This record gives sequence, structure tokens and C-alpha cells, in this order.
Amino acid sequence: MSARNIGIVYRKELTEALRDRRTLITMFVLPLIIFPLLSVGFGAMIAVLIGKAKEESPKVMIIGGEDSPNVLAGLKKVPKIQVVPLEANWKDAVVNKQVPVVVEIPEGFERNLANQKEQTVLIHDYEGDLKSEIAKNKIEKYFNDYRDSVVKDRLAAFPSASSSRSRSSRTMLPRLRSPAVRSSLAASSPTSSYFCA
Amino acid sequence: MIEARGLSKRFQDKKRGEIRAVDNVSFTCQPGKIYGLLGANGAGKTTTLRMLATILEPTDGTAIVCGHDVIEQPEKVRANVGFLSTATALYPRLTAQELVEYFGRLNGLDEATLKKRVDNIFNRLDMDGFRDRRCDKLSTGMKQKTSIARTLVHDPPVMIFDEPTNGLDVMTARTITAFIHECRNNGKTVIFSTHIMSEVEKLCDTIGIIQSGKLLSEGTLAQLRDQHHEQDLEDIFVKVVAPHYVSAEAN
Repeated sequence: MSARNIGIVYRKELTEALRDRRTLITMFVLPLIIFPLLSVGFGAMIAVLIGKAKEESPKVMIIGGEDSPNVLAGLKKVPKIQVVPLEANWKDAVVNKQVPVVVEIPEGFERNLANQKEQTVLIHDYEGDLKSEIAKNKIEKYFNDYRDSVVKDRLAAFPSASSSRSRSSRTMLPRLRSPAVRSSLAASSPTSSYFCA
Repeated sequence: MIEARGLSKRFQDKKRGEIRAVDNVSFTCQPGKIYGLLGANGAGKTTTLRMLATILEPTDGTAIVCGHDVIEQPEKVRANVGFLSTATALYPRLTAQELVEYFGRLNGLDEATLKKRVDNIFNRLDMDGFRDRRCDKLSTGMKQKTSIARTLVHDPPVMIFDEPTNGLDVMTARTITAFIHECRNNGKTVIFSTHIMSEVEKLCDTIGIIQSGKLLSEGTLAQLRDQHHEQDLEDIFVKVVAPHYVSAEAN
């Protein structure tokens, strides 16, 4: 078929399509109604799911921390989390979504913190899982707040002259790092999170 | 001119095996003459005409239309043929004029010639009153006139009519028969299939009686009367066809 004839047939088909009420409704009217409805519907559904997940008290397992009773006690008081005993196969529990998050506190955490040694807390979660994400955020917030309180206490204990404080702060602040990210067990290679003081 | 040379068409059917819809049909139709193909339902008329119009390819044999072979040069044959049937559908959402123009353009007419032709045909067929009306809003007669206009727009020298008055009322049928006459008077080669005897008597210069895909008898009306010793065309038809007749339902 020549290009001229293709053009003639195309023009005819277009004319016919634009005169067909059903085609026009399918092309223009339905998307205008259906797409906003779908967006609102999905949005509402997701909001309900997130709300429900936030209301739940996710289970948290803790590895270590026996020599850091203050941190451990603080963790157990975090609202709407449920600390459960550690199981040997805790990785499977996270991967199978039985436990949203496992927190790993290094040995001598509080002691080393007091000696101003850099410390790392690992939060093992299941990346992409809503419940795991919510639980991880709660744990992260707890450790952020804990870090801030440690910094605050140290600044308060420091000599009060403002010039010397600012100088000391400059020497101290580079040692304060961002709070924990997480180790995702859903990913093939876990990444470590850290907590510093 | 149309010259059918041993035209045959076989179809394969799972239940019935091979079906010979058209079996070694040969005839000639001259310019300025009307050749009538007379046959019962399922006799092979439409299949024969479809092969002449290059809609179907013959299994055996061939046909020469305006000097072009239907197998070797189907595009050239199509450019020289106008095919009209009551079964031909129109594009429902195009107006009568748009539809005729569409086929004119597809047949390679330039815009100036197309406009002249369309105006001329619409005037001749008294179609000006509904040229801008969509085809799905047309009456049966108007649709048939639009079909005629579409067939005529590229002014083909050969016209093929496949039961063109089937299911039409008297007035619309008269428009069609008048148009077929006009084609003959304009020197076109006309081939016409029907099972209505009166139309054949009125219109055809040569009559071919076809049954079970075979051309059983051929000649002018006078020749057929002489050959079969009957005066009434219906009696002639029955006499020729009866020994070969198998109803379309049985087929």
C-alpha cells in the first residue's frame, strides 16, 4: 500500500473514531472519572493500612545489651513496641515477617559510650515491609533521642565559658555522626547502621 | 471486456470435504453488453463474480478483465472494476459524500477530478439531499444509491453487480435497473447476477444459467428459447437446472 493510501485510510479511520460516541467516552470521559476515583480510593486504602500498622505494637528482639541496663530499660519503655525474647533463628523470623525488627547492641555499649568511644547499633529490618519500617522508625527515634540526651549531658558538664565551650564543641562535634540507618535482611547484603557518641 | 477461462474455485470443508463452488466456468462479456448470470441460491454466482473482482483467487483457470489477468495483475483489474452488491456495507459514521470521496481517493483520483465526479454522480443519482448525512442515518434506498456512487466514482469500464436488487423495494430496484441500463448505454461491460427472471429478461443481452458451480446453458433469450423449446424464462431455467439442483440448505 502506498504512503498516500495509508494517509487516506488513516484520515478516514480518525474521522470515524472521533464521531463514535463510545470511542470518545472510552478515550476521554472514562479516564477523567476513573483515574481520580482510583487515586482517591488507593490513597484512602493505603492511609487506612498505614494507620492500622501504626496502631499495632510490633515485636522487637534485642541482641546483647545485658551490660547496658539503662539502654535496655529505655528500649523496653518505648511506646507501642513489644520486646520479645531472642530466638536463635532471629534472621528467619525477620525474613518471614514474624518479627519486624531485631536490634543489636554491641558489648560494653554504655561503658564505651562513657569513654567516648564510637559505638554502632544495628537495626535489622525487612526493607519494603510497612510494619518493619514503622518499628524501625520507632527504634531509630529512641536511639536518636538517647544520643541527643548524651550530647546534652556532656555539653552541660563541660566548663561554662562560652568561648572555651565553642572551641571544645568544635573538637567534639566531628565525632558525632548521624544516627542509625538499618541493616535490611530483605536485601542480599545487609548494611550496618551506627550510633555514635 | 471480461473473459472467464475455465474459472474454478474449490473450498475445503472439515465435514463435507472438498466443495467445488465454481467448476470450469468460461464465458465472454463484451463492452456495451450486459451478461446475466442466472442461478439459484448457492449456485456459484457470487463466487464467480468475486473471482472476477479479485476478491477471491481462482483455484484453477483465470479471467481477463480489460486486458488484465485477475491472478497476475489484480491491482490493475481492481482499478478497472466497479463492484456492487446489496451485501456491501458502508462506513456508518462517514457521510455519503465522504464515503464516495474516500473511495475516489483510494482509486487515485486527484482532488479537482474527484470534486467534479462527485458533483456529477450526486446530481445524476439525485443524492444532493443527503450528501452530508451519515450513512447510518440513510434509508435502504439512499444506502444503495451511495453504494452505486461509490462504485462509479472512478468511472470503471467494467461493472459487476451481485444480486443488486436483492431485498430492495420496487422503487429502489428500479433505480438500480435504470442505472444498469445507463452503464450499458455508456459502453461499459456489465455482468449481473440474479435469480429474478424478470430482471434478466429486461436487462440482459446474454444469459448464463449456472448451477452447482457449472455453467449449464448460455445464449441470448431468443437462443435459449430455441435451444430448450420453451418461451418462459422460468420454464427454461427449471428445465436446465432441475437435473443438477441441490438446495442450498442441503449444500
